[in-house]
Amino acid sequence: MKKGLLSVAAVAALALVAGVNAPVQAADKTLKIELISKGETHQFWQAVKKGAETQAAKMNATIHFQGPAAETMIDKQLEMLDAAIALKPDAIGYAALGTTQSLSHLKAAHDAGIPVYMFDTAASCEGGVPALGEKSDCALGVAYTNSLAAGSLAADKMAALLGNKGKVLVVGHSQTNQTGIDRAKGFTNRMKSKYKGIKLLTTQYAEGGDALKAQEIVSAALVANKDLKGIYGTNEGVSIGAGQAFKAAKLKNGAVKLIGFDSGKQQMANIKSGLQTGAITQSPMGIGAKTVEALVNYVRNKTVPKNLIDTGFYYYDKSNITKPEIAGNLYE
Amino acid sequence: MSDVANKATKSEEAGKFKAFVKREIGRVTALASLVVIFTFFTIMRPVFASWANVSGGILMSTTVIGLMAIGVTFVIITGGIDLSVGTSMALVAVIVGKTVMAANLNVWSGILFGMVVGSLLGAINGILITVLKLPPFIATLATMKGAQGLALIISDLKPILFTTDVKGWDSIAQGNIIPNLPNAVLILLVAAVIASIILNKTVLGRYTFAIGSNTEATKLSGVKVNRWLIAVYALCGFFVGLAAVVMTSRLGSAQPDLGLGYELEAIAAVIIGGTSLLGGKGTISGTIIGALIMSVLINGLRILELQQEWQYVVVGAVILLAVYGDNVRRRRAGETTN
Repeated sequence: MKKGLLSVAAVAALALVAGVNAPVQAADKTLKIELISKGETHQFWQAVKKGAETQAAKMNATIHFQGPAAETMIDKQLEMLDAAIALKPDAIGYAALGTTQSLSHLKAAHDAGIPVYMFDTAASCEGGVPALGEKSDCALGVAYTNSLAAGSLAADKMAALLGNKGKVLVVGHSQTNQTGIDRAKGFTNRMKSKYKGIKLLTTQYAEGGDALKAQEIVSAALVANKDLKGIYGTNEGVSIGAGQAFKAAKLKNGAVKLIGFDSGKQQMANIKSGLQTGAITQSPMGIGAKTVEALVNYVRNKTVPKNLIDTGFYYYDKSNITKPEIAGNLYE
Repeated sequence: MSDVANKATKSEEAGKFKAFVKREIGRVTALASLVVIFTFFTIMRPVFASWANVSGGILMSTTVIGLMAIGVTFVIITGGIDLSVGTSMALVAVIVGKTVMAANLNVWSGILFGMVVGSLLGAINGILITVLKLPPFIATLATMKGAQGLALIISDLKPILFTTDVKGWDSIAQGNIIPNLPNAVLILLVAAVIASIILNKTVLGRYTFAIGSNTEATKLSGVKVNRWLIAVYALCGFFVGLAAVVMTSRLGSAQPDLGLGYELEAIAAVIIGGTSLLGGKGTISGTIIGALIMSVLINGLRILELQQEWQYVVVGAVILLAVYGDNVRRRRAGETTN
């Protein structure tokens, strides 16, 4: 935001120096930005959309935000991306579902002269994130939560809660999308390398964040491992399902620690009631806002954005859930 | 009694026995597979057979798919298919959630409302198929998509939390009218018994089989086939509505994006249970056994901590084996196969 203002100021200063025929019309034109998300269902995407809308309104741009009904619908999302390219917008924001399948589509956008900035999840562009930028035919960069680091923060918290000993189960929400993979891997890698007293069970997946499947996985794990001490769920649906499994098994609050991910009304209620221990939250509004900011600055002011913008994450529990720096990133 | 008459009686009895075997062997083989799978997991991990796992794990996991599968059984016996049951469940859940929270309905009205909404959605499928004469596959594919979208629209893309204001919503699935047996399981059992009675003892059941065996002949005999088909799809929707209520109770919330893909699990349970995709044949008990095979298998693989990707492979292989075995058996018995 600050950077955006500075850039606008810089352009205005240049215009003053140039004196005549200042390119004000470029700044006046409302930019059209197409944002292709990974979903619309989860409130997370709604928060991303809200952040993007707020930022767009500040910078004289409009956004059109869309995503497939489920995060498994890669083809559907690529159709949306193609349709967005065909509209010839000023810029496109893209959250990669098909991390490899989308590459040819991103090149098509590049060839059509439409700048693309990725958000939440990067496609597997050649050379990885370091190779992104103005010269890349993939995208200018990516604004995302460092999910590996977020997962490892969850591991630190879990190990501390358990005094570095006991059995822990990871319930993932996707084996195929990078965010899902990294949230689980960040946790398991950290546990294996730093907390030798923790025994990890085989990671199970409630594909798509299916709360009912997560409940069934956790119920089975509680039966099979009487000494299970902790559960880490990698998204909202999984966390809800795990909490419900605790309820069904009539566990005492806190008997098994549960660290979830993201927020939502039910998960927040569970944390307040003590059924769930805590959760990691990203900054979804920040993801939306920073993506739009990067794109508008690039199109309007030719400011090349960083190829990687980390939008941050936090651990929250009963003690800090209402604090402003946390509450602003939580959504019901 | 003359020898001739005696022989006739004997061959008649033999014929009856053959018919019995023909009719029942589908269920018997399915039940045998269930026992084999159950025994296997019990040997591998004795805790698998503990009541905590059987009731809270296996039976509880069977409730949602089982209820849907009961409904789908009727539809498949008529020779039709219903692809919309998964997302319809999400739509019913969302509508019930919104209504119960907004109108402050009590638990019983909520359950009743869910079943009514489910039946109406089912009736829409029936009308599309009979009045507009759309093939069931296409008609229910369309309503599957429609229901998916509407669930997202009505919920405003957010899960609907049944707050503690709705007293007892949790108990629909998780309470215990019978000690140590979750209510959801009791609901499934009662639903199965009622469905069995409807299928075997009522006019609706008789026409369900008749339409599936030979729609034209049924029409020619003066039966208003269209009306009965609408009733069958509405009945399917009724059970889907019940599944939706159980699902929301198990989760304490209505998840608008949960249900896509459940239709295939329900259909698989029906087919594994020996109901023919060609129509005209099927049983509710077979369907319940089919649903149990699926949940016993998945629960067992989880207890054994098999890698998730291998779990998918094993489940796929077992579905293939179960249905292939059934086909071989039918071919031997001289029936047409699926």
